[in-house]
Order: sequence, then structure tokens, then C-alpha cells
Amino acid sequence: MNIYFLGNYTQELIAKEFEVITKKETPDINVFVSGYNQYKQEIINKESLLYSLKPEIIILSLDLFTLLDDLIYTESKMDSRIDRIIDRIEENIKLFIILSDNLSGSQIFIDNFFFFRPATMATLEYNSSNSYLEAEEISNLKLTELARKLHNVKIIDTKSLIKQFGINNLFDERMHYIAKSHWSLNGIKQLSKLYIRYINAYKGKRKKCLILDLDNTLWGGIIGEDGIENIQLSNDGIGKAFYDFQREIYKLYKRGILLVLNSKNSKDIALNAIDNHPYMILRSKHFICSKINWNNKAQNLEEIAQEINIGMDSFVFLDDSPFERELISTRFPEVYVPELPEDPSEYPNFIRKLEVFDFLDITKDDLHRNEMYIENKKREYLKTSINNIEDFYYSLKMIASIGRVTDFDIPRISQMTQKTNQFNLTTKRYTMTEIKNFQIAENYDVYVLNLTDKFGDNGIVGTAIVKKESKKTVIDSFILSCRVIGRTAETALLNYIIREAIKSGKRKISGEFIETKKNSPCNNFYKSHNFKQIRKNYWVANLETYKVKDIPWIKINGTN
Amino acid sequence: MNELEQKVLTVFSKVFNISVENLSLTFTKDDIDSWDSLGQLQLIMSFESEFDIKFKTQEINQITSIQKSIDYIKHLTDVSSNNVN
Repeated sequence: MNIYFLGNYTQELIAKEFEVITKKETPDINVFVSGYNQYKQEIINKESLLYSLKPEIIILSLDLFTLLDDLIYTESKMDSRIDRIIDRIEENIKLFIILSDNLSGSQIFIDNFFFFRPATMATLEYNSSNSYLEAEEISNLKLTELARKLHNVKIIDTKSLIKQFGINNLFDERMHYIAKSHWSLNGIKQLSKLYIRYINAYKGKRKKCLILDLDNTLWGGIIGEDGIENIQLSNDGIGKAFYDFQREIYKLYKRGILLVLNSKNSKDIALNAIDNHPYMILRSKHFICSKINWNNKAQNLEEIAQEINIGMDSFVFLDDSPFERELISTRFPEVYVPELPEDPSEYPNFIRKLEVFDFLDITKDDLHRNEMYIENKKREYLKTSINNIEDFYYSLKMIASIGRVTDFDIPRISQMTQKTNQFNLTTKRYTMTEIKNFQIAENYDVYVLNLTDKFGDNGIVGTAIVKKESKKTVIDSFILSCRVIGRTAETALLNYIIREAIKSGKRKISGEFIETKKNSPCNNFYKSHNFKQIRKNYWVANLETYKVKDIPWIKINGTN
Repeated sequence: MNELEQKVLTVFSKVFNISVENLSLTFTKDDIDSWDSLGQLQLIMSFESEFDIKFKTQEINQITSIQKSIDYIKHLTDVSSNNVN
């Protein structure tokens, strides 16, 4: 993966620190830094290294003092200074549009604008028509407006570091004068961390599920002893802290983070409080799964992981008891077990500062994830109540829409290749840029499967990348979301690929099964679809004699 | 070699990725390939966090050898401990 730093000051030390931290998790990363203050040339010149590399990620950072140096100290007509500053910003914003256009498959991050020194006009700041800080604010408004319009541009809130760490801690005037970079050693560290946080959000590296305790976590006090009237949960006093804490968690729920209860309590008493307390924000319907009992919490967690079918490394465990936290982190080291603050007034900030649920975009799928899981539970229930599996399939009233990938699907398809482990025949991970390249390549097709059933829209649940050789179609990747495993949707997708292959005169179709620790759910895929194994893990079917597996219970909509 | 010298060599070793055995107290900028202007900054920053000192802007570019590093650090740490007394 290539990452390119562009800017108007010396970014080498930042890039170096960034590379050292990132290499630990992503060894195949290459970091490039544009020449000092060369960002304009790099963006305008179509022959620049930037364009020949087509990096997956670009980090663009402009220092306002350097950008506006001549205007800040100019002696000319005072009242036009702010307009000239804004003009300068707009010239740069035009460059950002060119960059976004020329590298439409890359993700571009731009640092928001700030002055790294205290207000330069002292008490006149904001009280004169030439306020720098006003210029800073206007610049940021224009930048934000721009980013919303460009699909591949996101803003990094670098300015927020100042609030968090302070000017003296982040910047070093000596560096500004001798190295043309204003960041201090600590500033470099914090900025690199911030960049990595945004890149992780872009890559979808985040936790999926938050496991919560009840007593002294979602409310103050112990429900079994204090009773529903006496627990701390209200709209003033310390009870408000728990209320705000729940509101913060509800925000995560709305973004698609799954919520689970794991609490030692009598179920009826706890549920009564959850569903009837006037200030409870999180009701039973918000929890995808609840374990309210007197069992060992590790055992509960094991059952939770099985029920919702996600890996241990996708969980965050929140509990006020150091004993329970210790138990979980010892038993399941992959689970993230942060220390809840001692004082509940810090609880809401604690959630705001958790860096494991970062998003850059909220996709339609994220918004509906919780509903989709609940619909899935209903389907499971239906499955156990119907004896014949085909009757079950018919009862779902499934409709599959299959077609070629559109620009709109690219983030989701890349996300599927990166994150799906179970039904993934080759487990090849692809970035958005790579998917985009497959989409435009003549000899590749990327197919997308969308599945609707009587419980709702499952969203994009399958994808396949195929390479078209002269007489043969080769399946490069074939992925099905775990939400729809066991419903024959994979057959719908394969049949579609086969029909397309036959239509374009191919004689054979082949594919590989690359075994991993996690992909056993699909180890029988080729065999069960009448492919022949010609060498280890390499499967072929002859299209002239291929017997299509019929799945009359799924209605197929071809979308192109 | 005294403790300060040893600590200084460890910083050099980390910044320039050279094992301590391959460093000598007599080394100057010319003996270490990666000691360029960027290396200079990393070195100074590492000294500052390791020894809790602060170089003046004019001093930064005068650190041109291992011996000069030791002299400056010795001077700067003496100054700060005198202040405490």
C-alpha cells in the first residue's frame, strides 16, 4: 500500500514516525513524501511522481503561516487583507478539486487549517476586520463544504489536537525556523497517531460489538438491592451522567455497532428496569443478545460470540468491576477490555474518546446492521419451526439482484474482501483502488449480489471477482457475508457467473479454494456445485456439459 | 566509558540504526551515512527527550560529532542541575 504525504512544510519526520508505527501492523506499506513545498507542482503536473504512483492514500497538510506568510505581514490596505487571505485559500481549494479528479480511485485526507501560534493580533483578534482566526474559520468552512462534495476527500481534524494537547506541547518554534516544520517531537507522535486513526477508519478497522454490564455501568446502584425507583438514572445530578452515557452508546447503536448485555442479575428485575424506567435510553429491543443471569461472564461471552457469529477480536467489554474485566481479558485476550473510569461523571467522555468505533462514512448497511441482525434472528426461528429445508427457503421469499459493480458499491465490496473470513474462497484482500481497477479492466468482472427477503433488505451480501481468459472464466474471489450463509444465495451468484460465461462463449470455468483457519464454511463449495478437482484445491467445470444447480426458491433480478 | 557516554551512544544507535559496537566516540557526521539534516533533527529530539534538556536553536547545528554531543549534553545537564541547587 502506498501512502503519499503532500504539503507546504517539511513532513519527513512525521512520515518517518508514521511509517515506523504502521509497519508493525501493515508490513507492505510504502511511504512517500513530496519535496519541500512541492504540492502545487505535484498536483498540476500530470507527469509528477504523485500521478505515476497513484497512491491509495494521500495526506495533504498545509501550514497556514507558510501559506499566508506574505499576506500576514503585508503593509497594504488593511481592509482588504482578509479577502486576499480567502482568495488564497480558494486558489488552494481549486487544487484539491484537481487532485480529487485526477486520482479518483485514491482516498485523499486533508488536514484542516489552523495557526500553530497563539492569536497574532492579541486583544484585537476578532475585534478587527482583519482577524486571522476569522480567516482560519472561514478557510475551514470552505474546506468542509468542499470535502462533502468530493467522494474521495475527507478532512482530518488536526486542529482538535491543539484543544487536546495545547500549542506548547505540539509545536516547536526552533523546528519552524531551522527545519521548516512546526511540529515538536510530541506533536509528531500525536499527529502520526491521528493519521493512523483516520486510515483505520477508512479501512473499516473497528470493533463491531459492545458488551455492557448493567449495575454501576448503565445505571448507578444495584437494581436487585436498590430497586427501580432508587437506581441513579435521571435528567439531573449524577443520574444524568448515566443517562448521557446511554445516549452516547445509543449513537454507536445508530451507526451499526451491536449492543449486548452481560450482567449478573435476576433477569425479570433487570428487564423490568430496562423496559420501564423512564430515563432508560437503551431498551431490550436495542440489544442484539442479552445474558442476564448468574453465570460466569466468560461463559456468557462464549455463548454470545456463538450466537451472533463474530470473532472475539470484534468485541469491546465494558464493566465497572475490575474482577470481571480481569476475568474476560485473561480468558479472551483478543477481546478489547478498556478500564471504565472510577467516577461515572467521566463515563460519557470515556465513550466519546474510545478510538475503536471510528467511522469516515456511514453506509446504508451500517445504519441497518442492527435491524438486519434482528431480522436474521427471526429467520433462524423460522428455520427451527419448519422441518423441510426447501420449505424454509421458499418461506423466505428471497429475491437476489445480481449485476456488475457500480461506483457506489466499491467501498462495500472492498470492505467485504477485507473483512469477510468465513465464506471467502480465496481470502484475497483488495483496496478500493484495486476494486476500481478490476471494474474498469477489460479482462475482469466484479459481480455484486444483493439479497432481499420477507424480513427486509440484507444489502450487499455477496461478491465475486472473475478473470476472463479467451476460453475460460477464472474465479479470483468469491465471498458471501456470514449473514446469509446457509440460504443458497451463493448458488444464485455462481449460476449468474456461469450464465454470463456461457453467453460470452467460454468453455470452462475454474477456481481455487485457499484454506484458512476460518473459511471452513465454504470448503465444500466447488464440489457441491459439480466442479471437478484437477489438482489440490484447484477446481474446474466444463461449461458445455455443466449441470446447473437449480434454486427455484430464489427469484433472480439481473441488474444489467 | 562513563554512563553519559554510554547513554549517548545508545541514542546514536537507535536513531541511525547502527549497533553500539560499531560506533566509536571519535565518530563525526562524516562517519555516519544516515546523519543528514533529517537525522540531525531526530538526533536532537531524541537527546532532548532522553536527557530532559533543551538545545538552543543556534546550538542544534553545532552537534557535528559524537564527542560534541557529549560535551553539549554534559553542559546542558550541568546547567539544569545547578538550577535545582
